[in-house]
Amino acid sequence: MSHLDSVSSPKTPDFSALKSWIPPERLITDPGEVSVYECDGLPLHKKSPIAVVLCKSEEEVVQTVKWCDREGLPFVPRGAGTGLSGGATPITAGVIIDLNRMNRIKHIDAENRFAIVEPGVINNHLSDATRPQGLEYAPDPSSQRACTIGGNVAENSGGPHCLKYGVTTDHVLGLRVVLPDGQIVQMGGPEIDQPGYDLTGLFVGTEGTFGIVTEVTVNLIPPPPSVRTYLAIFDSLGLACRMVSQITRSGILPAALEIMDQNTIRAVEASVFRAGYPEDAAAVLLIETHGIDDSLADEEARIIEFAQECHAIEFRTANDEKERMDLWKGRKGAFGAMGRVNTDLYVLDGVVPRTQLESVLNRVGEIAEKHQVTVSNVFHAGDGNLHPNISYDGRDPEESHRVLEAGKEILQLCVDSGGTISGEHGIGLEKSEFLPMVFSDEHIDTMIELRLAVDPQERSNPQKIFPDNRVSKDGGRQKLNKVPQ
Amino acid sequence: MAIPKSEEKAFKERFEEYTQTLDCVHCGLCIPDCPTQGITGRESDSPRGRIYLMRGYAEESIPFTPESLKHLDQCIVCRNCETVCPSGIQMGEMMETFRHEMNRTLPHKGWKHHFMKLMLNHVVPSRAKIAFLLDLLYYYDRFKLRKILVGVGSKFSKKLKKMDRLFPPIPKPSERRLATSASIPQGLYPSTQGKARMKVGLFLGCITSELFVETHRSTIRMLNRSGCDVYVPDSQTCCGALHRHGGFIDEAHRLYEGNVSAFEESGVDVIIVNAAGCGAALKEPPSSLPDGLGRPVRDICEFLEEIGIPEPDQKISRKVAYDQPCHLVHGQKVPASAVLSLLEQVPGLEIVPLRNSERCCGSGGIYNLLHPEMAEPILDEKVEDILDSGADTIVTGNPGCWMQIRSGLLDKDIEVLHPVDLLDQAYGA
Repeated sequence: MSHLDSVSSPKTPDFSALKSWIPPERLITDPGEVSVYECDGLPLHKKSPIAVVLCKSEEEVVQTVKWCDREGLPFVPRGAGTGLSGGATPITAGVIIDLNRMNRIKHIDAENRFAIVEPGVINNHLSDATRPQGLEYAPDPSSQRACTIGGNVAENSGGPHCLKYGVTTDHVLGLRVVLPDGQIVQMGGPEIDQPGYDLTGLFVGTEGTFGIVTEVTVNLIPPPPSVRTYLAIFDSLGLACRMVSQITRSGILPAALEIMDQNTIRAVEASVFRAGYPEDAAAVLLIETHGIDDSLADEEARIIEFAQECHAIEFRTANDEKERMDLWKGRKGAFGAMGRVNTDLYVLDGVVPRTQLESVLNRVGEIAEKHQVTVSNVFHAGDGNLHPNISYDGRDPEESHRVLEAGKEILQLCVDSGGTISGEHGIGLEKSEFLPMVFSDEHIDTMIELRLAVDPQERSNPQKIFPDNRVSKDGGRQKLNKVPQ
Repeated sequence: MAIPKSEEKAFKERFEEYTQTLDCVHCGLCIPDCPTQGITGRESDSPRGRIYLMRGYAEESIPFTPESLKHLDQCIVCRNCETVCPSGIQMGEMMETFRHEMNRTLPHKGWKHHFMKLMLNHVVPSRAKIAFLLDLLYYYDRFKLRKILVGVGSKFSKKLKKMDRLFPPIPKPSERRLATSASIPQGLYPSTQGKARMKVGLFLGCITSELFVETHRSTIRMLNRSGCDVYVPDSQTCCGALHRHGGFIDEAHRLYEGNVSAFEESGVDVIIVNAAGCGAALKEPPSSLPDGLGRPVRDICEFLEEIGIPEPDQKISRKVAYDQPCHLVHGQKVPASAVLSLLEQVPGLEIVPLRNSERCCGSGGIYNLLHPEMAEPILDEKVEDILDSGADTIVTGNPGCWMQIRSGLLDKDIEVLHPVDLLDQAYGA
C-alpha cells in the first residue's frame, strides 16, 4: 500500500517516563506481542505499533497522550479492534492507546433516560445493565457482543435497527475528550439540546482523529411495547429487493429490513449461528416491526400482502422470543461465518438509493465475475446500506489485488448510482483513497483544516480518512498556513 | 528459551495444524467470552490474538519471542471461543497441536514443565502410583504435617497458602477404592429395576478413580436405579486430557489405546463418564483411532436425561445453582438444560440462575497450579457470581471445577457437589 511507503520508521522512544507510572502488565513493547495489534477487523492493511498502553483511567490517557507529544509519537485509540475500515490500525507505527480496560458504567439515570459510560464498555453490556430499569441503548452494530461504545462513537456506527432509531450520533448526548495535546474537554451533556455549536455531533464519527473519548453520555430509550419479526424467503435476490422498495414506499417504517443472499445463507447455516434459513433460497429478507399491537397487526397484514406480490416462496413469523432471537442470530453472526468460505474476508460498506438495490446488486455480481472474486451479500436493505463481503486468500498477493480492484469498482458503482462510499464502517484506511469519489478538493481541504485546527501535529490517528497525498504533502498543511494565528 | 533459527524452520514444517488458524477472519466476536482476556485486557490473551500469533509464527511474519509465547501458554483451553465463533474455530485442537510442537522444539522449559511431564507420563497413567501418592497425601494431612508445613511455609510464600486451599478432602485408604470388574460378582453392578434395559461401562479416570469414589458410587446407584447394569473394567486408564492440554499428544494417544482395549471386550452399549474433561477427551479420539472407543460416550447427566430417571422420593431443601464445566458445555456441547431438567425433578429443590455459568472458573485441569496469577482472578469473578446468585449449593460435573470452586468458597457456607451426588440424595435407601 502507498500508505506504508511514505512512512519512515520512528526513532526508539524513551519509555522510562511511561514506565514510571504504568504497571508492566499494561505496557506492551515486545516485538512479537505488539504484532497482534497490527490490524483490527480489516486485515488488509497491517502495521505494528511500537508500544501498546492499556489505560485504566482518563488520567492515564492524558499522561500517555502527553508522553507521545513529548516523544513526537503518533497515537491510535483502540477499543475491541472490531472495526472494519482499519480505524485502529497504527499505520504510522506509534503507540496504541487501548481503552478496553476503561469499561465502567459510571452512572445510569433511569428517570432522565441517560447513562454515563467509559469508552471501553461493550455495546451489549450497556443494554444488559439498563434493561432491568426498562431502558436500552438503541444502536446495535452486528459486532455488538464485542465492540465498544468508544469505537461506536469514533465510527458513528450503525446497525440493523438504525433504520428506525438512527445511528450512534443520534444517541450520544455528551462527550469527555482528551485532545491531542492532553487537554480535557467536556462537550454536551445529558440535556437533549445544548446551546452553542453542536461539538458533540462534530466529534462523533471523526474516527479518532480529534483525540480520545474518555466518557460518553448516551441516550437511553424504552424498548418497544411489542416486536414482530418475519422472514420472507425468495428464489431471486431481485424480488427480495423489490419487497423492500414496496415496504418503504407504503409508509411503514420497520425497525429493520435485512437481506442475506444465498452465499451468506449457506455460510451462516454451516456455523454456530445457524438460524434455520433455507439453504436453497436465493435470498431471505428479515423484517422487524416495533410498536403497539394494534398497529403491528395492521402492518403485518400489509407486509404479508407485499410478500405475496413479490412472489415470496415462504413467509415465516417468529412466534416467540426464542424464534425471534434465532432469526437474528444468523444475521448477527454473518460476517464471522464467512471464515468458512475462505481464509480472509473484506467487508465492503457502501450506500445506494433504496430504489436502486436490485440493479446495483446485479452490477455487483458482474463486477465479482469480472475480477473472479467470491461475493456474499448481507445488508441493511432498509437504508440501502450494502455490505458485499469478498472472501479471499490473503496469502495470494495477486488475488488480494483483484479483491481491492473489485472493492473499488463496487464503491464507484454505489457513487454512480446516487449513493456514497460508506454507511457505517467509517473511511479509515480502507477508503481514504476513495474520498475524492464523493468530495471535491475544496470539501476535503475544509475537512482537513478542521482536523488540523484540533490536531495541528496530526498526532491523533494519522493518515486516516483523507487521501495520504493530501494531509502530509500539500493541501492541508498549506491551507493551515493561511489560517490566521 | 528463544528458539534457534534452525529450529524455527523445523517448527514451521511440523506445524501441521497451521492451516486451521486460517479459519479465523479476525472478526473479534470471541474476545468478550475469553476468560484470560477478561483478566489482562491484552489482545494476545484473546482467542483472536492467539490465533494471530500462531499464524504469524508459521508464516514467519511475527518474531518468535518468549514474551509472546507466554500468552499462548496462558490459554486455559476452556474452549468457550469455540461456542461463540461463527467461523467454527477449533481452538482446543489448535492449542494442543501448537503445544505439542512447542514441546518437541523447546527441550528445556524449567522445573514446572519437567514436574508436569513426570507426573503426567509416569504417575497419572498408573492407578497403583496414584493410590500410593494419595496415601502419602492422606497421611500428610492426617498427621498434621500439612498444618505445620502450610503454617511455616506461608510465612515465606503467599502462594503456598492459596495452593493449599485447592487441597481436597482425601478419603481413608480403605474407603477410597471402588470395586472393579475383577472383584465383584459377574463383574457387574446390576440394575435394581429388574432386567436391565442396557449395559453401560463406567469410566473412572485417573486421580478421580480414588479421590471421587463417592461420586462414582452415586453414579452407579443412579444408573442402577434407571435400569442399567454397570460394568467397570479393571484395566482402564487415564483419559489423556491433561496430556493433550499440555501438548503431550503421543502419550495421550497411548492412553486412549489403553482405554480402547479395556472396553473392547466389555460388551457395554454406552460408556458413561462423570468428569466433563475426561468425557470431552474420550469423545474426541485421535485421528489414528477414528472409531474411538467403539461405542457412544456419554456424560452421566446427558445420559440420565436421555433415558429418564425414576421419580425421586426424598425432599431436598436446598437452593442450588448449576455451574457449567467448560468441557461439558463448550467441549461436549451438552447444554445446561440437560442437567437442570434432572434437578427440576427433585422435590423441594429451588434452582436459581447463575450469571456467567458458561464461563470458566479458572481450573483448567492443572492450569490453576501452573498459572495461579491468572486462575485466581478468574475464580474471584466466579465466586462473585455465585454469591450474587444466593445459592447454598453449587453443582458442577467436573472434578477440576469442583476443587477450584470449592477452594474459592471454603470460608463461605456454600457446598459444592457433583450433580449426581445431589440427585442420589433424592432417593431413599
